[in-house]
Amino acid sequence: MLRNYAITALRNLVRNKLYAAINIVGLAVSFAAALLIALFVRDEFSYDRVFPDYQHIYLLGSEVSLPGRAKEFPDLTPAELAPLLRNDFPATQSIARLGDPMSLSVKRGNMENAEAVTWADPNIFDVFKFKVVAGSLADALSEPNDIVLTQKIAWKYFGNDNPIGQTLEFGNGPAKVTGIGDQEDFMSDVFRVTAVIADLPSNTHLDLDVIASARNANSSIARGEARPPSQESYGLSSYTYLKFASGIAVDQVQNDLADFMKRHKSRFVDPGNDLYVKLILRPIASLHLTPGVLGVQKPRGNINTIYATAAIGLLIVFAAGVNFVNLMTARAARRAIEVGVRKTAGAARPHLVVQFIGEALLYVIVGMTLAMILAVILLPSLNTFLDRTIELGLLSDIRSAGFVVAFGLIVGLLAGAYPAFVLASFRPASVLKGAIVGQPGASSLIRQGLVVLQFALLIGLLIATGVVYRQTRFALTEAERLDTDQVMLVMGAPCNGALKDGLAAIPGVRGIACSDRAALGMTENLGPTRAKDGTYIAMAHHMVGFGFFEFYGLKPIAAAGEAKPNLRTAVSLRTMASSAARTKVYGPRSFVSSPSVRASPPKSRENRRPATGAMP
Amino acid sequence: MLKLECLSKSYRTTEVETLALDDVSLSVNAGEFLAIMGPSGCGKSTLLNILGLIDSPTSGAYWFFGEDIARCSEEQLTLRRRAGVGFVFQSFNLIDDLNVAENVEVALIYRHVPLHERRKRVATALEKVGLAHRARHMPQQLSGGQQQRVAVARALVSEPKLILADEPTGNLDTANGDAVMDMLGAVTASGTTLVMVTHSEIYGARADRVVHMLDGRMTEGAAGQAAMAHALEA
Repeated sequence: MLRNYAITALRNLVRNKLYAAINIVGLAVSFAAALLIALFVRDEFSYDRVFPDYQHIYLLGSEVSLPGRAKEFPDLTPAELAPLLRNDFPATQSIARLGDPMSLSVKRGNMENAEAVTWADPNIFDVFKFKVVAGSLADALSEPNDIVLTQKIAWKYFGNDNPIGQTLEFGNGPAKVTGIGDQEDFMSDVFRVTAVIADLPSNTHLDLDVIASARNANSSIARGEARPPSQESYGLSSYTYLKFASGIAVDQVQNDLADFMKRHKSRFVDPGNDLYVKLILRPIASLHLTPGVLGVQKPRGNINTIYATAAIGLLIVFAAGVNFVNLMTARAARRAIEVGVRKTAGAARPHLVVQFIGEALLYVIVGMTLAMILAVILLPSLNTFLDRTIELGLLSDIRSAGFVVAFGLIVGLLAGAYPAFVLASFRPASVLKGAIVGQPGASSLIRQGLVVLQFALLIGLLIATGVVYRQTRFALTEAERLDTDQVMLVMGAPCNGALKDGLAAIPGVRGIACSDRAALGMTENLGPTRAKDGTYIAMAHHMVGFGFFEFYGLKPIAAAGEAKPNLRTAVSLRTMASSAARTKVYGPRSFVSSPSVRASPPKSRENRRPATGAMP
Repeated sequence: MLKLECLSKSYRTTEVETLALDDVSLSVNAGEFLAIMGPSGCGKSTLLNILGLIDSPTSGAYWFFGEDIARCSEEQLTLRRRAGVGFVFQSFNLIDDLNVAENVEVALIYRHVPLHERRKRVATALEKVGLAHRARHMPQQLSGGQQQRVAVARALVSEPKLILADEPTGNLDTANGDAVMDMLGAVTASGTTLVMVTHSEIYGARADRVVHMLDGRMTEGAAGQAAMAHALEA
């Protein structure tokens, strides 16, 4: 019987090629889209689960309350906390730090590039069990000039050579604006490669290329530790990880951290204070979906975005399912004679339901196979777009493969059930007489309803696509409020006269401007600022060179003295960078010429700087 | 073997009720070849469908091989149809996606006949209708006469007790019509009951008995007389 069904289904599929193609391509495209969305969602939920013992690894983060701003949740904590924690929480299996990555120039022979160098405690490898490609991680960072590279960086500098024991020269590399800023210089030094680890997958919160020993005196961690412990300072400089043995009550540790802060950072423990900090232990597996913008190693995911994306995936599959049901049911009339003949031959309704659901599954299986091929073809593009290393992994991951197969079967069963029941319900006495099937009735109403639903869904998705496209266009153009057409950004180069002269000499270069960070995507450099009424507010500060605003076509909404503030001093521009709080404190126009005070933190040395203009 | 008593069948739409069979009583003996004749729309096919258990009467009684089918569920009717009824239709009704042998095999697949047995019986049936050499052809590759012979083979292959033929020669020329009628005639010789609806006086004359219908009623023959008598008594 099944053989007979299979023959009928396959011949029917081949005989109705166009219809079958429309049906299968519809399923394949929607399944492929849903599969890619499912991979993205799985990737979002899989962050940091690649590390063995990830359930026992926690990041010590800060909850920072600044005046006039919403709470911030940077992952960073002061470097000096780690030794204090080791002393106060001896039951913790490992406590290790990573520094905030520094952009340094890394040189070998004629090759020199800017690389993100992350300083790390030697015991970081007790916390994170990275996969070793060459060398050994035991004592890999024990000497001050030891470095561990990822495979990608090792290949970049050493190619096929064995990198173990070889050296790289590190030098200054961070972007600097001549004459302004107080960034600490990095002293050039030579580092020895002790191990190479496999490139990290994208689904980890870590962003590591070059890992250098924190024992180096130039490291941000060593510099942080070198300062005398102070109750008054709270520098966000390190990512501090704690690994607990099984059975440790982490909740109790979290509670004890409040007393820890009182002992060591008493200046920041009073919620009524202008700067209030609380330490928070977060399981690393939850980091990616924990809100956070400042002091994170990689951009965070958003659970609402994931749910919305998953919902779109389900809607696409649903629309494809409805389309499938409609196409199958619309073709039912052509199978009416067959149903009549089979019924007169003794087929019961379940026989026919099984036959036609089986046919639906055949379409779904072919569609899913094509969808997987499509997904394999499109996945690299998606990875490039998302900057991820998502793998299909259906062959290696039995659970995912099982999920995809089960999902396909369920969709096939659900989508195939209705047409199958419609077909199986044909009365042989009517259809063999040549009566037209599909006349008005309950099933016709259902079909019409499904068509309306399908079109509503598709129109809704089209409108949503249009809105997203226009919003993206808007975000990339008008919303920037900067004229970035024909602007090239050079990062990492010292912005000195020689560079400027050299660039200006290039034919076609019409202007040059410098800033401490890229004009678009300026991360906030916060500092408490005292307004004229004496209250403090956290305001973002950025350093820009002369001609920066003119370069980007920004027009002031208020300026002191001159209509066009070709700004007397670069220093004065610090206070001009946009901040929502500024409006609250001064109002856009009264801001100009108001004396503002920069203090970091209050009570310490205050920098009084006049405001010379206000920008939109 | 087959007995209808005061059987009626009406079709109801929202506006009008049509009486397709009106108080029909009829008996068909085992091995009998009965022809039903009458003008189009007189209820012949409806009667045949009810006899073949693919339609049900609105009122009256029908004893199918001695069993009152009024008490049978749809599933039970399917089982009885599967076990003992073969159909031949005017428009052949072959399944386009199956070849000749597979079309004939359809009559056996719901009876759980083993594959090797099915193949043997299909081959024998096709031999009988002279189409063994066309077993692998698709229906569209055959002439109308050949297609009807395949349909006859499909009706014969399960060796049913009852064959119902609804104008089996209606779409055929004389030569093919004669051939199909010869095959059906041969079936009755082996004890199978045959009820055939036809417009053809010539093929009707081949039957053991002919009943005529008009406007849903029997008008001639023994059963027709019984129906008339019943009407008079009422």
